[in-house]
Amino acid sequence: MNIHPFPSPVDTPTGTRASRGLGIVVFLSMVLLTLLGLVLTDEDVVQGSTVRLMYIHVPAAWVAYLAFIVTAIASAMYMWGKQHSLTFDRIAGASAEVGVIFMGLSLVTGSLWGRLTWGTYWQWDPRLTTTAFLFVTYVGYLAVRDLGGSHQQRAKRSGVVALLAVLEIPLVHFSVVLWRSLHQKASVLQPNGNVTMDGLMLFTLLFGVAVFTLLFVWMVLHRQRVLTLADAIDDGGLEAALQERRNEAN
Amino acid sequence: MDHVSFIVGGYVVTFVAVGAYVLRMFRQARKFNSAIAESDKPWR
Repeated sequence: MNIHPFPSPVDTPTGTRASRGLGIVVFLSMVLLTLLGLVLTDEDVVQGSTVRLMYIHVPAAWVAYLAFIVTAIASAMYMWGKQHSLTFDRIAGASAEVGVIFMGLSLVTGSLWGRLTWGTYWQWDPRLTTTAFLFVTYVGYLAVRDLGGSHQQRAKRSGVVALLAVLEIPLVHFSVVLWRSLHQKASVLQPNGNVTMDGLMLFTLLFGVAVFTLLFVWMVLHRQRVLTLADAIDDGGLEAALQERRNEAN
Repeated sequence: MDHVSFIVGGYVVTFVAVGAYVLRMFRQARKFNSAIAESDKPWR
């Protein structure tokens, strides 16, 4: 089978007209975000140019939270839905996979930012430690999905893990309030409603959150379709093995 | 801009990681696609 090493994102079996349109919007928005983040926004009076990492670090962390919440909701819909539709399970799996990528990116970009502002790549600080724990938990979730068994067994088993794992998110988010942390507290979502950020910087941050959210939707859309194809191949393989057994018996 | 390598490096790592994941995903899609009937692709 000849598979091109760099397949075109425009011509893929999991694409539709709508997903291609979304992909183009996401790509152009990412280019604009990079321009805004690296060139057009001013440096911060306290942090200087290092603030430019915020425009990818915060959106990456946001998408990871969102992805894990979507995983939990989709798992609940599988478990308590009347049909026990595997589509929900595949959405849960796709979302968790994308979430792990973005949680990892949040840790890496945060580590680079930490080296510049704190003088170290890593500290066993409450926010960093709980985030690393969340990352490992969802790597574990993906491992549980690969344990084998039927698709329904996979969905039930991983659904339970997803519903437990999502409880870690409030702990991560509020870790900077609950414990003394090196990590800064919320700049935008403060309890008193004050936003202490320059207009273009705030716009770029919110734009980054919106662009990463659209990127997440696009990635999950394609990934869950790939998982649908993979499940269909598994089912086909099982059916072929059963047919072979029947032929041997006759 | 100070600390260019760290800052641009952060952006590059992000885009390369997402790009690599997407390429791997599309390669899998192509690999599986030929073995699957159109009826098993509800988005088509």
